[in-house]
Amino acid sequence: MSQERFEKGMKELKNKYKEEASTTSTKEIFQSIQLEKNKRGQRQPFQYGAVIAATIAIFLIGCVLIGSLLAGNDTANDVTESPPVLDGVASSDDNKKEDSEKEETSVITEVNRSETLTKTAAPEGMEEEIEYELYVSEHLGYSTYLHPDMETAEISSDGEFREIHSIFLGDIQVSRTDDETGLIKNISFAEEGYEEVSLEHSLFDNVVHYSVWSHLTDPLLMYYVVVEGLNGSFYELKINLTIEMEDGYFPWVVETFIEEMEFHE
Amino acid sequence: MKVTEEQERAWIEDALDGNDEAFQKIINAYHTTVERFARQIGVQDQDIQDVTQEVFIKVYRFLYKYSRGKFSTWLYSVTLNVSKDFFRKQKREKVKMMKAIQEGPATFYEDNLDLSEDARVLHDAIQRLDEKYKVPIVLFYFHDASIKEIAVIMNSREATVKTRLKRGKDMLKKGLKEGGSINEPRAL
Repeated sequence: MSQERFEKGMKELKNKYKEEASTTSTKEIFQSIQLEKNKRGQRQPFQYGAVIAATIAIFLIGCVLIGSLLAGNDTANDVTESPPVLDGVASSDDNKKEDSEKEETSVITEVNRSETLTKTAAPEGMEEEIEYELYVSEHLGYSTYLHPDMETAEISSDGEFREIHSIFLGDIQVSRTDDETGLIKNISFAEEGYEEVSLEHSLFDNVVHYSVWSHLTDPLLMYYVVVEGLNGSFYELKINLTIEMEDGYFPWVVETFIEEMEFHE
Repeated sequence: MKVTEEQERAWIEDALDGNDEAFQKIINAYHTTVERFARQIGVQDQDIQDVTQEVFIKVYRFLYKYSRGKFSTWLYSVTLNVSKDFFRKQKREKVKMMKAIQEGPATFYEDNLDLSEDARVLHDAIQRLDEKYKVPIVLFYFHDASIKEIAVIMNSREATVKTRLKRGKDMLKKGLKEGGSINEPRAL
């Protein structure tokens, strides 16, 4: 009976929807396309100009470099710049060094996952493929896939260890707690100048908690996500981004990061 | 308006060659479908024109990227993505929206529909469904899309679509039985 009622109701709805008159004028759609066409047409001469300017600039830089080499100026070779070392922050070179040391002294967690993962993103509604790279966190005990342009830093302060995966002006900060009461939840975000945004549509599947926060004065957003790991552990993710980045591929990078998280002992 | 595959292919090829008339034919043939689908997944009446226009601008801009499969499947996926973008922007303009709500209530699809009690309950319940259930339900029941097509449109696996369709349907049936209330499991 309930199936019959359901089917009947859905059929009626379908027919009623079909009867509804269209409210969009095809003329206006076509005009907006023409406008778009004109905009593109106007953009082209500028683009050609930019290409020519870039070519000249490359040529001039090349001449200057060749000139300085011919003049025997080799003082640059004597200077080795060291990256600034931040308190508590390990640079990627340090990480590599540490990694190779670890390889010699301890057993690396074996993760049976493909080295790359290709997924489709649709920034501004249009699809493009992104090839993500496998990332294994020895310290926090998880693996996932990162955008190839992402850089990872590790921070330890006050006994807390965090990983920061950053790209452009956005980042994904990951920490782990084995005690549910230790979760940050939303306590401190208001103090940082954020207010919670109410959501009508879910952003992530299979997470214990998530909330979205908008900065009151700056064009910044933050997603706060909690994912459950193994043996009662929880992973807290603070995802920082600018409002403009919401229109790009960053939300897909975040989605992939969360969806592909797997946990290891 | 029923369009044959040959006709459709010819319009697309002509439009790619810069033929405006062919693109106009594509708009005429599909704008109602785009509008209807956008509305059914939650775009409000006052925004429907902007969303529909944006969909066709994207189609115009990226038509060269469409290569195979049913054109309508690609179009549904463009509409879904444009609508999702729109929802994100809406979320950001929450303050502005609050002002608009204070000025006057938004007009929804159902205001103009003359529905039986059951159909109204179902309509309301569909609008309240989470997007992951709403989209497959709308495509399957109102746009005759197959599981395979829905999976392509939503960029999901067919098994996921099947599960979501079943769960969505169960929630709607329960809502119907209880006279309109649905307790939807949320990811939160």
